[in-house]
Amino acid sequence: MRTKKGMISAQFNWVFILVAGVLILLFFGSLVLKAKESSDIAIAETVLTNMQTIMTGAEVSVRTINPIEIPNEEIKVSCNSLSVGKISKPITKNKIVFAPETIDGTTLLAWAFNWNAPYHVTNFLYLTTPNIKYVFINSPGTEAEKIFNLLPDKINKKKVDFSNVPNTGNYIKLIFFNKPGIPSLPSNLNNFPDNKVSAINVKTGSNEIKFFRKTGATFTLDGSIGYIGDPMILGAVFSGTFEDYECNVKKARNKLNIVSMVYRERTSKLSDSVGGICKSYYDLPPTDYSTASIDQIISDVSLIESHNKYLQSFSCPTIY
Amino acid sequence: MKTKKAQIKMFETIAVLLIFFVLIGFGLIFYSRIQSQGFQAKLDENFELKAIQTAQLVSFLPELQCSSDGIITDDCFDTLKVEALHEIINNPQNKDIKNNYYFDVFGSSEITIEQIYPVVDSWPIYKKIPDDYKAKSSVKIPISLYDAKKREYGFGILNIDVYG
Repeated sequence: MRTKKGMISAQFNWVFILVAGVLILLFFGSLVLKAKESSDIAIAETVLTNMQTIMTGAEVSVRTINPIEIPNEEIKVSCNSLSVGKISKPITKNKIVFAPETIDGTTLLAWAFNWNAPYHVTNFLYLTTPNIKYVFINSPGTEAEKIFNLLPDKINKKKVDFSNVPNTGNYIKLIFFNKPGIPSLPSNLNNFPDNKVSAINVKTGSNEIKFFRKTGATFTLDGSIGYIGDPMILGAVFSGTFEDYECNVKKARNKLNIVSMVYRERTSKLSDSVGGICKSYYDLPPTDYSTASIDQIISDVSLIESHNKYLQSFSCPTIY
Repeated sequence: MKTKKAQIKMFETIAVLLIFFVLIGFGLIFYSRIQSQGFQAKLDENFELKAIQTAQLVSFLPELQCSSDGIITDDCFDTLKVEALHEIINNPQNKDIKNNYYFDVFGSSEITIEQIYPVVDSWPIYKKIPDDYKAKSSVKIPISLYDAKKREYGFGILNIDVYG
């Protein structure tokens, strides 16, 4: 009887130790997991807050490229948000950021360029990394040369003939100018993963940019959209996807519409206060630029430009 | 007798566990207090950062900046543009621009431009103050104001209050 009691007591002790041990282990395990999760969130928050600060800073210092050291975290950039892991922060409607879908590595290249139509509308911000190679395919005409030279030297860029396209680098973006039809894929890029090669074709005659993605040994058309000015061509060079580019162009046109409303109001006030020859040039077109056609916008831009020149030559207060 | 001994041993083990958990509990409370203090400090820092970002944003707003043939003059606002933007934002017909576009850009804040010289004047540009704000940060930036009609410069202050 005594032995039986002792055995039960010993067994009970072991069961008790086992249960308590498991509970203690579970408790500490969950604590460690929670701490890791909150540390990941804190890192993501810090990266995103720093990115927003970098973006605000870079946006106002135009035409200067800023190489910025960033933590080695994968940052996803879309037209309306920035995200690291599960944490994301919005990109406000006034910020127009052309960037690849994902920013990897420890160096971020941030570059801003002013967009005028013809008055200053906003600064476009371009983000990239040294891992992305921008390959300009030699083509007749000066446009490719002009856009290539606009890009700062710190950007991984190259200008080559179609037959000499390099096949080194993590990601390759091909930039064609006025190439008829769908551009063909250089044969030495056939073995590159589909998501590591993309292309754009800039049609300068019709102010249109076509986006292509690699599918096997060919390029497939993703979409096409009209552009206004060189900064928008540069935007297409840096954009990861057609959808992001399209969304940023919409944001830019919306901003142009708001800024134009201010200029329209301003010129009507100027028109009320001046007389003589000046008055006739203070008439801005009442176009809604968020919906107007590209041709309409380009024609309005040249009209305002010529009016401003006349105003300047007559020593009148200028439109912009 | 043996049952009593076993019971005492059991109570001893339970008491040790209890004290162990109580100590861990104290540790956790202490840790979470310190963490929440750090979190609050980070929130305050982010709020101040947001206020500075808003101020920087307003200072470089193309809707307000002075320009001559497309060339921007820093820290200078065109009074005709200031008046125009004031009218556009505060026009009920442009509610969408205020509530959708500018709210996304400026958030909960109040932006006013005050002219001090040659005449005292004031233009409230944007105002969205939440009823239950917990923090407020004010930034004042001296600016020059250009009157395109008279072609003369004045002096003013850009006031930005950000609410959080």
